[in-house]
Amino acid sequence: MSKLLKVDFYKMFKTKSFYIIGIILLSFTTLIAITTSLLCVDAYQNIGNFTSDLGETAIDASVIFPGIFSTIASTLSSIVTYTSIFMIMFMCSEFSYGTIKNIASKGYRRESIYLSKFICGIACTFIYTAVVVVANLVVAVIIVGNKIPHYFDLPSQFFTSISLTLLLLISYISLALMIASLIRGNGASIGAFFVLSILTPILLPKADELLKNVIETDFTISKYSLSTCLLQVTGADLTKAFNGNDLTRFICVAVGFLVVTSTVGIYFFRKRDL
Amino acid sequence: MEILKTNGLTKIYGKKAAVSNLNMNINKGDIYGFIGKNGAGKTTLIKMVVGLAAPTSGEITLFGSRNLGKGRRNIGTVIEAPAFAPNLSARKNMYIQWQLLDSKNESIIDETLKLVGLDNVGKKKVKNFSLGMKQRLGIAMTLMGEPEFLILDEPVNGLDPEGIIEVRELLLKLNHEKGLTILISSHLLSELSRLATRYGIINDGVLIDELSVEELEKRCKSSLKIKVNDVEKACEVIKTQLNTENYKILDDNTIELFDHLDESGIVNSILAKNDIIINSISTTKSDLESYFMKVIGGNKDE
Repeated sequence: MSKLLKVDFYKMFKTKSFYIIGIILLSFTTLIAITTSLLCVDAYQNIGNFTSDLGETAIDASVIFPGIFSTIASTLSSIVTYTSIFMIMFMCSEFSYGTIKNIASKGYRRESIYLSKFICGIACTFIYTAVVVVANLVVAVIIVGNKIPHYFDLPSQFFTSISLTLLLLISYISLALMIASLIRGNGASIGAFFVLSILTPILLPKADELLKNVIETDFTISKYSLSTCLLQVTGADLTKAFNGNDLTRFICVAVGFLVVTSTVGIYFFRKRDL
Repeated sequence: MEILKTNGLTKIYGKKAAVSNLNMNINKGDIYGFIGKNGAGKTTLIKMVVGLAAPTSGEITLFGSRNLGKGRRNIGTVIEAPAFAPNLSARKNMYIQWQLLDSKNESIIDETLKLVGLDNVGKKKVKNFSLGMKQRLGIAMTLMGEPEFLILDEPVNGLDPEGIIEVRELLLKLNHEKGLTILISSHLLSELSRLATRYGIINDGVLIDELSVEELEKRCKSSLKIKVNDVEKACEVIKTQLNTENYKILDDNTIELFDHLDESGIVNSILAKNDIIINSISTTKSDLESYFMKVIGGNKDE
């Protein structure tokens, strides 16, 4: 397994798409961070002018401005697209170039080959997350600096939110890897992933309605989708503790998806010829 | 020692058996020429041996053991086409393959590249290599880690005549000097006949023949083709005066004689003395290609 990991990490860091996708992610993150920071500074100054006109002396900026860490947490959901595309390209390239045969014919177990790719995907998620965090922080330090009080205060739930987000992102990686190992082609796999990602949030509320009308139950499926959980985690108020039930639901959904997609992926990867 | 032994190996796709109840034996030191038409089941068999496809039924034994994972690490394989990361150089591709092996000696990368004549390609990306260079790199990758058994599927595809000779000499050298066992499938039967010491012929998933070079020689035995004006009379003379019945009448004018091969002059003289007009007499010998076509039921001239 350690040899497979060495090979996969070597390949990952030698793959152009890893850097190209990383640069695109960095560019978009930086652009959004600059826009957000400038808007915050501008808004804060306008509010300052407005309140001084009213003769008021103090404003609790943290009430109005979410702060950099909340901004970071909310932008992390965008990583899904980038990590999933990379994971699919990374896996499918092994099939299209035939290099998967070089590994499998050396007597390595298929489960190990699959898990090695998955671990690379997790590492990629961590790296891209670090890129987003660092880019946001650097831009905020340069543009906002000391202009907004409490802007750099660490909210109490930041690390909980980041951990949950990472767990959900890893589940997405597992889904992307499963799709790639089933379809084995770049275009079709990316297409299938996006169709699933786009269709799920559209179809699940319809399914909820159907359940409500047909069985007359208040149970909602959409609450248990990866996309809903990710949106709820990244959009949460980080100054308030997560609701216990929600926290359990987020973890169960993430772990559930992780287990199911990994099991299906490994099963078919083992079963099918290379 | 048996390097590869398959027992009743079968692979069924849907309702069609790509490989059916195949029993193959490859011994240490063999250069095993694996012959078959496209779709005969050669690649499917190789894929099952190296673990890229699971057999529907049957057994595979590698190096006398059923521990296939361990055995497969001792095999160098090129299947269908050599596989590389096209955006990396030859050395980086070799480095990836080296990392998968148990070897700790990184210098074998450069030694192997030198062996196949790719030691001076520098950082040129593999995607810019010619087909021949790719084939050589493919062979170099199979040689990494000093495997005991090489499995090569069409290894000289795309090579120029010089390249074909180089690969042939390299394989013979590895076989003679290092005792490497080689399974080689190729459509270039004339090329295969210069290499192989044993042959396996597969047709429609069934191994229809397995024979050594000596057996092939016997089966491709030479003959004298004699064109005469009176076949019946000539046969009588051959029986009575040349004392053999080892002949075959091919048509109204032609006899194929399998004895007295080095005595065409005597045969000619005896027939002439008996007032038989000889239009032509020639020595013929069938080759691997003719034998293959005969065995699979085709016609070389078709």
